[in-house]
Amino acid sequence: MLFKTAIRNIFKYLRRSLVIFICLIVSIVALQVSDSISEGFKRQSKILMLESAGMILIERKGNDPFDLIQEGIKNFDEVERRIKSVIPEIVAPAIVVNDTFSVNTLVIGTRRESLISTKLAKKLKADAGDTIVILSTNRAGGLSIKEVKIESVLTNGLFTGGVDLCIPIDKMEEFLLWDTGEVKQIRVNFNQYEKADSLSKLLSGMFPDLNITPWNERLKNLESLFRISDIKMYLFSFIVLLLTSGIIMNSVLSSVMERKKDLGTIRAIGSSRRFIIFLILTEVVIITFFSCLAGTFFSYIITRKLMQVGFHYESVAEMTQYIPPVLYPAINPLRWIVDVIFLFVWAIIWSIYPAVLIARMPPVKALREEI
Amino acid sequence: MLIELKGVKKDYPLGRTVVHAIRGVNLEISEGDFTVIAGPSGSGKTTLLNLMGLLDHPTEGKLFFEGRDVSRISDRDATFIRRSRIGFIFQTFNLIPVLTAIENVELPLLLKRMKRKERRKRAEEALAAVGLGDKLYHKPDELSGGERQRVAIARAIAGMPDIILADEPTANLDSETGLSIIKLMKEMNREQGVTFVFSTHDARIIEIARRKIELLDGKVVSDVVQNSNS
Repeated sequence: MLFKTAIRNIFKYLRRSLVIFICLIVSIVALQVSDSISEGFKRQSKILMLESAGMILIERKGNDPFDLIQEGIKNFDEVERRIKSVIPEIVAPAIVVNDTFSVNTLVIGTRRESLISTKLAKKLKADAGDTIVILSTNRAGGLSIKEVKIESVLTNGLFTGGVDLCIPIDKMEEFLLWDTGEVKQIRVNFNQYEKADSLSKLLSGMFPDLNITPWNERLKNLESLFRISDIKMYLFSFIVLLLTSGIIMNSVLSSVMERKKDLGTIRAIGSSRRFIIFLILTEVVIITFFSCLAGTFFSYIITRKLMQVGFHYESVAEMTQYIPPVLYPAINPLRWIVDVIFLFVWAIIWSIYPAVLIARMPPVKALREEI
Repeated sequence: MLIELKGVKKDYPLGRTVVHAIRGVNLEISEGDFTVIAGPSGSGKTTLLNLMGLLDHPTEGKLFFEGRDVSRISDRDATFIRRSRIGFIFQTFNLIPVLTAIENVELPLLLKRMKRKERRKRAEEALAAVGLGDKLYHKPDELSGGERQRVAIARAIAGMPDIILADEPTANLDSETGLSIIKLMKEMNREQGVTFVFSTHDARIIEIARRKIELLDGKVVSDVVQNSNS
């Protein structure tokens, strides 16, 4: 009967119920959509970082990127052989750092094409099939000029903001006249995330003079960026929740005050305070349940649409390496469930005060107007 | 003795002044009584009924329920006594608008944690007893004033309380309906032995009561057992 009474009360005080219902829908949509945007940003940034900086980063111990006289990785060939023995599809992974110019090499599966980013292609006004000339100084101070045929331009969205010229290491050696001994950093790139840790440990044991850092450790560098994104999201969520709490409390308070007489009667005929609180909270729980269902449905529709359209940040992306030029929201079901649970609890918390207020009111006071 | 009041006073703060609603009332209500509390508006009838129904605490004096001092009883204990021993009938019926007649009658039984089947049976019997066996599933707004008050009576008697307190139960009814309601209460008092204490200022209804307590300015000015003509 408690449930039945709660349902009927929801419909009897339909306007107030609708206010709470709509308010909760807006809140859940705001929370879930903002979560999806944040999640999309994190995922894409992570992928950008991993694709361009590698799953595993190998450097000499004490390596300082600003030290121009730093030494290369002496045992490059051995390191490369070991990596390949664990992950055979990796081909010549390395970044070669010159005193004045750097070119990244990336492993593109088993392909050995020269790939360039769309940005670089745009800059060079070049396209796939074109031949470009790379002019650079080598470590010895000599000038190196080399022709490279562009096999394809990366357009998959992951490299569009990047500035890397992606060519295999043997070609790099060829046109920069370098040998593998001058490699100062190796970026190992592959798709099997779970292998990163074990491979890092294996290499660390074998090469104690090298710093071998898997992706998840280096991901911490991105965390400050994510933290800013999170702070913004939390601030937004806090404002949304604050508004929600005010509306919920006000609506529930008005609703219980409007039926003070009914609740006073129920108290007079023998209901405990707890029963009154349960009665009011049951109504809130029912409204919140359906709001969350409807809200999640709307969030899904909106997020799917945004996933097609995306948010364009090309100008911002040019300034930094790991911000995706087009941000596509991503649904994280766990975060959505947390949002729903949080809003559920939040709605109940802010309904407790009006419920307790009316439950604690002496029945004679609630009935006085009527007696 | 069901209810006993000894030197009971009740004051209400009203702004900076204090209203002395009840000024030292001594009263005893026995089981099986059919008592009317009469008096003009503001004489303290409602306050007295509230005190008897443990809806309020006296400012001074002692209030006993079946010999137990309940003057300073906790809300929890008062709720328990109200739920199990006292029935209420209100001037404005005070039915829960979203519930049907039978659900309204079932409500106090639900609060007593009675099983669904049993409380449904009791509610049906109570409504049949007040002549509303054919309107079980009507909501209050589908019933006339007299019918609503009958539902309220059914709600009060369904839990088989020791005493029913009715605060001007006929005030919102026309005189004929009001009279029929009081006759119904009287019949229940006679046949089922339910104790009734009710307030009114309707002279025709006062005549029906076996015992008449008259209040004036918060004091009992007369307490007489009369020969009821019904």
